[in-house]
Amino acid sequence: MKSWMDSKKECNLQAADTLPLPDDVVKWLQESRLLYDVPFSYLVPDENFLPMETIRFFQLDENWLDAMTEGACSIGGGTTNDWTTNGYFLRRVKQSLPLGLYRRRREKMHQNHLVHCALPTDLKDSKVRMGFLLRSELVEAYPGMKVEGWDRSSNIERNLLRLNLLSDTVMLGIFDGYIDEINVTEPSEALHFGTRTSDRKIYVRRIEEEGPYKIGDKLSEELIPVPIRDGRMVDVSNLVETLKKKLHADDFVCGEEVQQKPAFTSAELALEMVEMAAQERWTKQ
Amino acid sequence: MNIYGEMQFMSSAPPVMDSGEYRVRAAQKVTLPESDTLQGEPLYFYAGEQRFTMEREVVSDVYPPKNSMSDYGTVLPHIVLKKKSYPWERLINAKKTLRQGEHITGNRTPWVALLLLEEGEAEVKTITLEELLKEKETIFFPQAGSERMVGEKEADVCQVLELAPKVFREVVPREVELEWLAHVRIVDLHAREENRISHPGCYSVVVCSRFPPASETAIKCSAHLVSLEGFHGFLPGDMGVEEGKESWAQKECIRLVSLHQWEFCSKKRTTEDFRTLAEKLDTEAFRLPVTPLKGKAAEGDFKVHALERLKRGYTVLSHLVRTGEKTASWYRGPLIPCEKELSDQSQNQSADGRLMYDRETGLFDMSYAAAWQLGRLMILKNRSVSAALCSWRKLVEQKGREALEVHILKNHLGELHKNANTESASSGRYAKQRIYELLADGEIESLLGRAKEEKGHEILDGFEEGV
Repeated sequence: MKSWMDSKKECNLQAADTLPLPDDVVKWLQESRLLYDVPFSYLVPDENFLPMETIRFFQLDENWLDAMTEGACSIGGGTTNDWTTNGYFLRRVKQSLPLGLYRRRREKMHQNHLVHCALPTDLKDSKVRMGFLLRSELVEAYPGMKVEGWDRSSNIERNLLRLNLLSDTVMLGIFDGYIDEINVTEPSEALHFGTRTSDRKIYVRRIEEEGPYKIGDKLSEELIPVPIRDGRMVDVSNLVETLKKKLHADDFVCGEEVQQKPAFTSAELALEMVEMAAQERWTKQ
Repeated sequence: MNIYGEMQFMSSAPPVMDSGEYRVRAAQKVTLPESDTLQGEPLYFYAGEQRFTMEREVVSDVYPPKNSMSDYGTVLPHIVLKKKSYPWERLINAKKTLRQGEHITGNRTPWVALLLLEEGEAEVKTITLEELLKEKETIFFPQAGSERMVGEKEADVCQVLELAPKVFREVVPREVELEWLAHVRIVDLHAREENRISHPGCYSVVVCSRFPPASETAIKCSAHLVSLEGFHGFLPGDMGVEEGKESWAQKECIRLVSLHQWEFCSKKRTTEDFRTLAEKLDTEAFRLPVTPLKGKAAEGDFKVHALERLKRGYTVLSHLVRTGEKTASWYRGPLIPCEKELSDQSQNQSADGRLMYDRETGLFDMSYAAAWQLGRLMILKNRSVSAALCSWRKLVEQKGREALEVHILKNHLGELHKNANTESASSGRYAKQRIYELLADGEIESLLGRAKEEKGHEILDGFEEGV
């Protein structure tokens, strides 16, 4: 015959399955699996793991995270007939992970960018999650850089689960799945105006599509100098006139119909002057 | 609007409302029982940016990066602002109050400009608004003598730049050039750091039109975002005004309000741009650098095992044991350089249960014990979460107890229960009530007696007693 204690445990477990865990708790448990709130010294126990100017690839140790989750869920229990032993919470938390891990970033993200943010199609727990720790002056100088994680062996871009600055010079990224390459791009909103050559010359770029040419393609191989006055001041009006002439912007083209070429505004000037975004990839060895 | 790569440009993004004080008036007209108009109290509000200061929060990025040193001789400094309408919030012509009727399309003259100054070209001062707005014979400041505006206090401070007329003429752009020096960028931010992704992705950018110096020795430069409000008609090279005849030409200095400033150094033949910084990074897996053992290790040498562990991401940390001794133990965090190992640590409801002894090196592996303990500490630190978890546990146990009660009653009062197999048969309350009825009839004693004999439990409350 079954003991009373067993029946009690069973009844508790059945009751627990019908009661949803409080959302705050689930959210906190999910976030802790992405190492939110975990003190830095637990992640990097020795400075030699992450010297200055390094990037280190890692895999998340699910065993470690499981132990942490179970530790967290152990509060308020712990008696000999505690019904939550045998990893009850762990099973429940893990079920919610495939989507739950996306939650924090998606909730924070502005809707303009959400369209670019894929959700996993396979809701089985993928188990392997990889990431990187980056410690460099680069983080301080370009905290807004774009970061992508790639699995080059099967050419899949992995979804970002977490990307945070842990300090001025340390960045932590975690991706959903295996990665062997990190791709970083200079933040495009912060791209500067600059010239092609050291004697301050630029190529003229197209401001409209034409045949096979795209916006931003070189108009020709000709380099034009940026007009200067008073030593180092750009003579903006002069530069704008030169560019307009080259691009025939603001001209009226008379023919069967009167057509106006695209206007030349500060947006077009920005297009002419802005430097290309620098990109760099780091491959796991 | 232009699309270039992943970015779109717009020439300007004027604010929905012009800066200034607004008044809302409301009146209600009634027709019954007699016609009347009830006037409401007018409501005043103020829209727009502050004139003399800018909140630090508005700045997203600056280029060249603050305090950096590189060859910046061929680039133009700029400032990226989180508010897309900021450069057009106010007007350079301070006398004009509203833009009403102006076309939205086309270029717009911003009210701010980014200036680049070398050391010694300008004096930077922090002064109060009282001093700023006082008219002075030797200083040219178009807004001097004007009233303070809503929210501005006499004692508020702001930063000002004082430029000699000669420098002013050289470093400040012309009024016709201003519209070309600000634009809006629309960017996708989905793969960015967490604090940036809540931004809609529309930034305004103000570009400086002066190249930093290119010299063999490092030259310290400062960039200032200045307000040009009130400078309409007074900027250098203004049409119709001869050089030397400007209204500020004979003054000692020209004052500009600096809304934001930062410094950097320019030096030839040093590069510290994105690419050079990114290229020099050292790529490795997350573990301590390990030097292989010299010579051939003997079979079963603990050093071989220790090395193996280091390769798998472990480190040895000093460990103060509960009983007071000092020792060293293996530790590895949640970030590992290899595949995870199989581990059976279930059914261990304590940190101690997760201690692992490493026979080869004679040390404990504290990794999972530490993780378990940390989880406990972390959740306890977050009071609302730990309270929610505990009350959920209680709720479950309460429900469980109710279910158990039914379960017990079913077991022991099966026959009675059969009769009660109607509507609310499953509810414990029904069964309880039924027992009370039976008790009143004096029929229950025999049943209870049987149950007690069997197990020795007080059954009515569902609690075990004397187990």
